[in-house]
Amino acid sequence: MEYILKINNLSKKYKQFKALDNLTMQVPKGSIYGFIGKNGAGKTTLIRIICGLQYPTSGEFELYNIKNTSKEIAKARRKMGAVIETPSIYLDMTAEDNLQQQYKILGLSNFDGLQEILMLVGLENTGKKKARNFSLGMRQRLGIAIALCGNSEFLVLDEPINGLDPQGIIEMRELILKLNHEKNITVLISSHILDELSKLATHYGFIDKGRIIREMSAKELENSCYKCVRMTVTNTNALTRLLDKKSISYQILDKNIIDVYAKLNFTQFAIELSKENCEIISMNEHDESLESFYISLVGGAEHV
Amino acid sequence: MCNLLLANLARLKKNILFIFSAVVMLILGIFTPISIYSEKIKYLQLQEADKVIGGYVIFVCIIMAFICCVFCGEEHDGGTVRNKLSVGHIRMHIYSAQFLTCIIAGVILCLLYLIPALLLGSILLDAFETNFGLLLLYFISGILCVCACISIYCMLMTMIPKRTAGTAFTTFIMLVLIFIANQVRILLIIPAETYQFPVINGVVTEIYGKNPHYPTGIYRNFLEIFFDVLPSGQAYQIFFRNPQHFQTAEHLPRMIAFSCMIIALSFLTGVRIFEKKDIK
Repeated sequence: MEYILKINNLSKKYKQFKALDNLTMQVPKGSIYGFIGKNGAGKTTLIRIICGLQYPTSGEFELYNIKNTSKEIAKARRKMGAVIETPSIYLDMTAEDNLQQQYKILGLSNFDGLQEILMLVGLENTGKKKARNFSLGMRQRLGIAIALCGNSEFLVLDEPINGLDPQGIIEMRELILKLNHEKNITVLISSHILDELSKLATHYGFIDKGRIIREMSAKELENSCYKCVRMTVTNTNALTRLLDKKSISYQILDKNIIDVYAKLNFTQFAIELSKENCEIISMNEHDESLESFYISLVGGAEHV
Repeated sequence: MCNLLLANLARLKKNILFIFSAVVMLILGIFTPISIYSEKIKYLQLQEADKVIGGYVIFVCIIMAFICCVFCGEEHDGGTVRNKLSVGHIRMHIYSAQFLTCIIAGVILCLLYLIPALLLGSILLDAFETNFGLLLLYFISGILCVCACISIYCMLMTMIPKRTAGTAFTTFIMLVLIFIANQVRILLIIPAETYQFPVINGVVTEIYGKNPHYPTGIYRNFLEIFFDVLPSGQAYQIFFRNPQHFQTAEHLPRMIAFSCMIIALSFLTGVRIFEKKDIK
């Protein structure tokens, strides 16, 4: 598998505080890598180091197989774009002026593709409107547009949906998916909004106290999350006898409601229950969410 | 670095504060010779064209404090410096481009004053008293004094990346330098001899002799060197040119040397600070 970014034992210390502690991770090419961690876990610190805003205390990383200590790293960075925390835009300029400014910074002599980028992020009709008059969602999209200048192949987004309204979140999600599917842009995205990330990411990295706890693909995560079916039946005793016989774990929630932790063959199960004179009133699949998986990974007790 | 410089200049062109300052300096460049000419007509005095050459330095130094702070502060405070770093530009180039952009802005403001002032001055006023070589030295010294101030401002804005706090601090520093330079100037223009009125045998007597307050020896040398080092001191000397008891012309080569040293030191310090800085 080809990796855009490989990080090896990266550490960052601010005076006495260790923000990153021998962090190791890889971002596969073409993936949407969801970077999950609580406040202060080290997500933004790592992104700042990758983007060259800060230097690591120890360790190294490779971007497009070029080491961060190499002089060629500047060339590798030309292929990436980043939106770190708040979008970096000139508030006194229009959307087009901001992109033209970035084109000049990149040394691109003509503005080919500029209008396409504006259309891609939905800002083609902003005209003479200055960025200071944009909504938060528009500013976020402008930040992404700036990051896309120069045919970026790798996009780093640090909490891009913070502060957006539901419509803005949907638009941002669709944009990221479009960039990944149509343009094959690799995306590294950090977010607190786990539910939203679960709709986007193809790979996950869980970070806590400056270390990667687990890296996994979306498929592996799906397999790791426990399966749960919430059943409402007429005869709880009959159901529990059947579950005990099959060594399936369960939890009785109410007189007639049981959570069953297994992937069931529903037809077979219904037939066996009917032999015990037990009717199934309702049945809902209720799998473990990314949120509960994350909480179980980093320890739920300290969050109570 | 050329890309960065061109991008910065494109941004400077649209900067409202710079455009406003350019208009102000242009008006000043036109107004100054006309104002001196009206005095010439009113009092029937000789007014040499030399009088227009020093008036711009202190104004540009003050104006550039605001322009540098707003321009550089927008990059650091607004976070747009991250766009440059994340696409691979090296820090020294980013700082150099910012520095050069501010220098170009300062030189443009100086020229916007000097060109109309010299043109109108040579037409309306009497012939230049100062020879061409010395005029050239005044010009170089003035420009370098402005560049020295700009270099200090760029360094300060790297240390204090918040636009408002940086502007306030830089303006404060500039005002303090102007105040200190003024105090030194007052000491240096004290006459060596003056009338004194001691009371002798109950009678007030008038004596013309050595002024006890006149700074002499090592103290005077120190004051003169200090006055030449301070950018505000240089601005005063260029503005007043040959004030009483103090010959500016003799100090010009030293002032030029000190300006170059200030530019070099503050530039290198600014680059060093920026290279080591963790950017958020």
